[in-house]
Amino acid sequence: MQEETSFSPPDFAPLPLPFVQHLLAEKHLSPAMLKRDIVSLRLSIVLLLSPFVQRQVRLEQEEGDPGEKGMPEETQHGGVTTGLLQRLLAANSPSKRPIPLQTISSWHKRGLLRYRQWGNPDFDNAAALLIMRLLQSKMRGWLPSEMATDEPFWWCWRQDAPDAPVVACPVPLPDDLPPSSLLWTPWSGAAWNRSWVGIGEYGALRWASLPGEERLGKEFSLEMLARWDIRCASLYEPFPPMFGFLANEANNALLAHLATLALYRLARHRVVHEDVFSLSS
Amino acid sequence: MPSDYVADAETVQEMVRLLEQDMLLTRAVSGLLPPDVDPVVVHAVLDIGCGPGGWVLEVAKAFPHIHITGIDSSELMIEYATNQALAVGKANAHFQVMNFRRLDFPDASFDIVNARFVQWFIPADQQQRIASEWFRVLRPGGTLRFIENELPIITNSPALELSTTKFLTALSLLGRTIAPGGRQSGNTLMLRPLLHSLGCQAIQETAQLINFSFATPHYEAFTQNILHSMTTMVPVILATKTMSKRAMMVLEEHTREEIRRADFLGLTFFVSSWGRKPAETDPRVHLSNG
Repeated sequence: MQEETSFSPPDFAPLPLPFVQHLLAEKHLSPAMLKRDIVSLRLSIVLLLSPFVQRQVRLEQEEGDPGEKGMPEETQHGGVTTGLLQRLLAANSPSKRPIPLQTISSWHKRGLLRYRQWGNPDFDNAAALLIMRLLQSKMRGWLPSEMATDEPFWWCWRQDAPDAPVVACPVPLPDDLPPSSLLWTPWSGAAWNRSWVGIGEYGALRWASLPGEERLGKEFSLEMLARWDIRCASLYEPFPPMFGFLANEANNALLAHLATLALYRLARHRVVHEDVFSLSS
Repeated sequence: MPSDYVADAETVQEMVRLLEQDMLLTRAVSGLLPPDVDPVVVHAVLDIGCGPGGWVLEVAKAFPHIHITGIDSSELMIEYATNQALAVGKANAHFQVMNFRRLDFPDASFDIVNARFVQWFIPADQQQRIASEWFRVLRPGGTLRFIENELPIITNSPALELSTTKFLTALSLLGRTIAPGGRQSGNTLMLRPLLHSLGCQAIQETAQLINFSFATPHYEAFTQNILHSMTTMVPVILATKTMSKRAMMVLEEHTREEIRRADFLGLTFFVSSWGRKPAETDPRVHLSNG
């Protein structure tokens, strides 16, 4: 019972909470041991899925682009598809048997498989399903029976100010986060979404919002940046007005770049730990 | 598709090991093309057993005029390689699922046929027959190149030495080593005779030493790859009854410990051998034959 309450969901990203609870119950592992198993697997999954994700993103960007449609048929395919997920799961299952479409459909109905769009599973969810498959050798029952549709995809760490407590935060992010809340995760696949800044294999960080986004009607300000990183903030030299027009766009971009630089500096004590040695995983 | 691969090539662990190996070898082995080949006259290249397609994409990037094709028996690897090519917009790189024993290409289709680290997966007594199929698709005057490494690794880690010896024993039992006794692979010994038996001319060889001792530039990537190999080769070791699973786990633990030490030393080498398909009309052949 003590173990049930002692684990932190962000340590197990990109697994949603019901997946973690299922693994803890089924594998009879301590959260610390499960966390150790997940560390190396998530690196492998990022390496494996990245070209498919990049292709998917490119396909979505080029959707409707006549240039893309005019290309040879083979170049119009690829990406993170249901078929790819079926093949990867089958190749890593004990029986190697193909996964029928009925099973895929059932997973979707039970909230276990989530789609980005028709035929294209969500990247993080696909990664979570693969991790679940790799961590268990049994044929059946390797997923929980269901997952609520409003269950967060996974959890990250959140800190609203340098002196504020670090707390777990669901992904997708809540709408009421202060723009300068710092968020981080050991899940480097988070950077497949461009709002997150990937720090190599260590993980990813982001601000709740960035300058120019006008999220919630508020912006990430220079004062907010100064609270987190005074050295980065000191590099801000705003552009002067030109012919009476304000240089807001350029100044927002400059502040956004400095805020991103600060993420790299803040990463050191959040996703990069001195005791991490890749061969230990 | 039936495969000669000794491990399960489509598990995530083996795919990741191959991806890492592909990246580190493309970095570590210098020279994308054989040094005496003028890239300007090369138009079509075939990579046998291309895996995740790292070498194919490097060639496609460096030489946009070359049409390069990678083949592999693993559908997932080809899917991975294709997505990589499409993600980076390399239209001159193509990948196909194909068994290297029967190539679905007409005779004399390629200027270069490249085969890296495939000898491990060909029974020793079939190498000449399979390589002759690769030779068939090579144009007269074209170049056939092999790159292979040798086992065992030279190291001061007793556990790593024992691991590679056990792996070699398993491969020997499967008929995948050339050298007798299962104490060394002999892969690199066979390259020149193989090229010669196919009728290649102007055969050349170069060796490249890779020091991956602690704190060297290749240390992390090579040791990581070795550890991943130990995991993915478990079924091979078990199938040949070379070691018990328990003994494998203990050996892996010891290897992990020993390669983390600051005094860890490790050395391996690659041999690149290449030769030219005779062509009376090819002035390069006359030149190189003196």
